[in-house]
Amino acid sequence: MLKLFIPLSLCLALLSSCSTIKPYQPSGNHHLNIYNNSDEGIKTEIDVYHVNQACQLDYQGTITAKDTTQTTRIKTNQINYLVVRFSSSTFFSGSHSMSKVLIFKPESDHTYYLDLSYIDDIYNIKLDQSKHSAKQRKTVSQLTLNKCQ
Amino acid sequence: MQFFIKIIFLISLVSLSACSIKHPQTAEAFRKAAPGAFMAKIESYEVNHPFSKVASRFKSQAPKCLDARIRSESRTSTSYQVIVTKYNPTVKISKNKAELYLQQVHEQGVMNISEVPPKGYFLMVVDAIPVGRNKTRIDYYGPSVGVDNITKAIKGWATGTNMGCPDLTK
Repeated sequence: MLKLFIPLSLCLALLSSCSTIKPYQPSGNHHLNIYNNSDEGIKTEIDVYHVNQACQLDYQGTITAKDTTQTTRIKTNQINYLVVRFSSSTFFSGSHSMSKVLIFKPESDHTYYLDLSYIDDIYNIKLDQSKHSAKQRKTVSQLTLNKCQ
Repeated sequence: MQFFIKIIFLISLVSLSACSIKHPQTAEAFRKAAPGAFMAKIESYEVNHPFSKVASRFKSQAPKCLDARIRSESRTSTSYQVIVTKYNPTVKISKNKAELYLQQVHEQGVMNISEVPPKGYFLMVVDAIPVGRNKTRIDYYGPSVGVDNITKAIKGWATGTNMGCPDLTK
C-alpha cells in the first residue's frame, strides 16, 4: 500500500506545481467593481497583467468573477491588460472558452466598473469609470499596444 | 490497365467539374442567390424603432462585435485541425437603407474552392429599411442554421433590447 502511496503523492505534487493560475492579489489604490451575470455553468475569469516598460505582459493573477458584485484594487499610472474569459465544460459537449482583451490605464481619483454577462451565447463586456465624487459613468477608452510593435 | 486509368481520370474530371462552385462576389449577388441556395433562408421582421436608430446601432456594434479573428481547434484520437477564420463586417448607410454584410476569410485550415471576394465569402446580408416614422423592416439573407447567435445579436441591436456581441467561437 505504501509502495503505491508514494508515487501517487509524487504525481499529485508534480501536477499541482504545474498549475499556472494564481489568484490575483489586489494591489494599488483604485477600486475595480466587477459585476457578473452569466448563465449557470459559465465560468467567468479575468487574467490581470501589467504592461511593463519593455511592452511585455507581466502576469499578476486571475480573478474568478462571482455572481455578485465584488471589489478589487488596481494600480494607476500602469497600463492594465485584462483578459476576460468565459468558459464552460460539460461531459457531452467538451470544453469551450472565449476571451476578450481590455487595455486601459486607470486615472487617479476614479472608480472602475466592469460589467460582464454571458447569456445564450451573447456576451457583454462593459468597462466604465466615474470620478469618486460623481455618479455619472463613462465608457473607458481602450488603448492598443501598437507602439510596442 | 491504361483503360482503367482513363476511366478513373474521366470519372475524376466529371466529379471535379460538378464541384466547380461560384460563390457570390457582391452583396447584391448574394441576395439574389439566397432564395435557391441549400440551407439558406430569407427572413423579414419589423421593429418599432426609427430607422436612424437601427442604422446607428448597426454602425456602432458591427465593427465592435463582428470584426474578429477566430482560431478553432479540434482534436480526436487520430486527427488535429486548426482553422483560423477572419470575420469582416461592413455597414453601408444611405437615406433609405442600412446594409450590414458579414464576410469571412479562412486564413488557415480550409481550402478555398472558388474565387474569394475582397473581404471574404459572404456569410450574411442584413438590410434595414424604414417603413414608417418609428418602424424599420429588417431583411435577413443567410444560412438557416449555424449562425443563431449572430442573428440573435443583430435582432437585439435592431430592437435595442440587447447590445451584446455574439460568441463567434460557437
